[in-house]
Amino acid sequence: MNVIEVVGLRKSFGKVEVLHGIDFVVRRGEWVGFLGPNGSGKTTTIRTLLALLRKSGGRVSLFGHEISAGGPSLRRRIGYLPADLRFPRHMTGRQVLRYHARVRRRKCDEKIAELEKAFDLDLDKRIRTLSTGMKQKLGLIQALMHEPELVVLDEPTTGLDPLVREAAFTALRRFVAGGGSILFSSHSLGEVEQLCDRVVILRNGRLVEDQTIAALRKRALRRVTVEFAAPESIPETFPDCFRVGKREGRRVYGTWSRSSGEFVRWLGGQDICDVTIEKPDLEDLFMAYYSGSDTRGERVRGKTLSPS
Amino acid sequence: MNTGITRQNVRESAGACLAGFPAMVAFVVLFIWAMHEMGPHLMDFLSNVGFLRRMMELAFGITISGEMSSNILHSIPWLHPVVLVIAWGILIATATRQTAGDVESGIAELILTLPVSRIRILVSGVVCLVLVADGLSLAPMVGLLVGNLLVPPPEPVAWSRFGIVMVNFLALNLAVAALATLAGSGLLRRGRAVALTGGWMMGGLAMNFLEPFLPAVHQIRWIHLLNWYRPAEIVRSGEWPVVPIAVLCSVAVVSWTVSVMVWNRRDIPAA
Repeated sequence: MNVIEVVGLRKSFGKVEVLHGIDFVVRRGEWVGFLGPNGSGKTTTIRTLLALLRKSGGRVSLFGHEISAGGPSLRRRIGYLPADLRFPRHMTGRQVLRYHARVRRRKCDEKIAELEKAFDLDLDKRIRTLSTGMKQKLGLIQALMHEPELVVLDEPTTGLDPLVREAAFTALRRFVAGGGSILFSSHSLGEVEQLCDRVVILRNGRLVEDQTIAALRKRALRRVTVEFAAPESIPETFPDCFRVGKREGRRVYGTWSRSSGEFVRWLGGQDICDVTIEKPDLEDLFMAYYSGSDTRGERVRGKTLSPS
Repeated sequence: MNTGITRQNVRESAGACLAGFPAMVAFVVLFIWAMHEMGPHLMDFLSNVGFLRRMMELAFGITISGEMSSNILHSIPWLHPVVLVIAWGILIATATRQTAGDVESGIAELILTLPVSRIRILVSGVVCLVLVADGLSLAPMVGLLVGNLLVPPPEPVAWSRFGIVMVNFLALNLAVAALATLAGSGLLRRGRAVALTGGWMMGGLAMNFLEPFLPAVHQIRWIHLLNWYRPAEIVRSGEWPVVPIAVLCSVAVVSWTVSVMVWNRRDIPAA
């Protein structure tokens, strides 16, 4: 079942269209990374999903219901952590959580106690005395305390130290293992690669990639170093899928955009003495979407991916 | 309505109300004491300075003469700028905080993603405003009671007439709160909503004082809420001001209805 289904989503502010017809889905039990450079439309998409912004066109469904029709009953099943998290400064963390629980008309004391322990946060401190990281922990607790089915996280790890980040990931992994779904917007490409099942990448308000991490890994570049037996052994031409970076004596550094097997087969015909093949790194791939020169936001696969 | 949001709104407004209520009571008590101490001299002075007398008459809607009853004098603090500014200040601050203020500060971002409709959130705010307006409308009456206990008046206080004044004051306060809600739900910045509503209300006070100089003001004063609030006339006649109360209540209902429509449809920008 699709927890989120976005079809042809458009959003304009006055005459300026910022989302140009976006399509993607998040399935039950799936952890989807939501990537894109600043201004690509990630936050606008999230805010439209949560009905903070009114869509200009297209269809947005949560749990199979159109958001405009579902309203509050759909939001009961969602936890949200905004990028710019603000709480009333004079309240304590516990007061904020109790207030949210009261508005939700739900008893969350047990879950709050469990999350308080997991995140090691003193909920009796006033918000104005909390650091950015502590506020972020409080935000994560409020997003998870009512045991939602979907959690939307907009840059959730900002300001978290590595230990707390790991605690947050553990809590979120447990949430996904229990059948929950996560839409995870982040600029931390390593986190997305490590945690998510699939990534959706936006650029200039358009969808430029929607693919599983496994599929992306297959397409990602492998950094390779080949040490030939002698400088004369270095071939004059290389296959198209081998992009040569630099040469140092007998060594050639470059990237290989097909499978390792094909690389080994090609090496079989060469006179080499050593070779290094690095694990495919998605960070390079993601960076291409961030830094690509195609300003229309169209697919930029060709920059780093194999022609296939 | 969502009781959780209403309780939170009441808690947020409590500080201002707890400061404003005694301030209004204290001002009315002081006013009554001052009237008692220098009432006859003040009346003589005002009767001799024509311009000042006319201005006071227009501002407070009373006829100033040497034989003014103490009940008429007691109606003056109900329309005194100090009392009005305290009441309006609290109402405008409360109404705009619940709308534009929470949007601007980013607090609304989480509240609006909780399982409550925007309409319920705004209605919860309106319930809080009605409670605050009730309390503030009661303050001059409490001041009157305390003042008359401390300084017994020369004639019995017409409490039933002051009860009608209180209802008229409540209607005025509800209309002010509703206009502030309307400004807050439509504007992105709280400061602008406060300036717009506060400016409009202060404009009404200014119109009262400008009327002796600009006869044209008299022709248009019906557009302002203060035109529909005349404590001295109520105390003098003892009649229910049905039309003024109906006008003020209509302004409140229409403004809140439009606020709900605007609030329900608007985009909530990131803080």
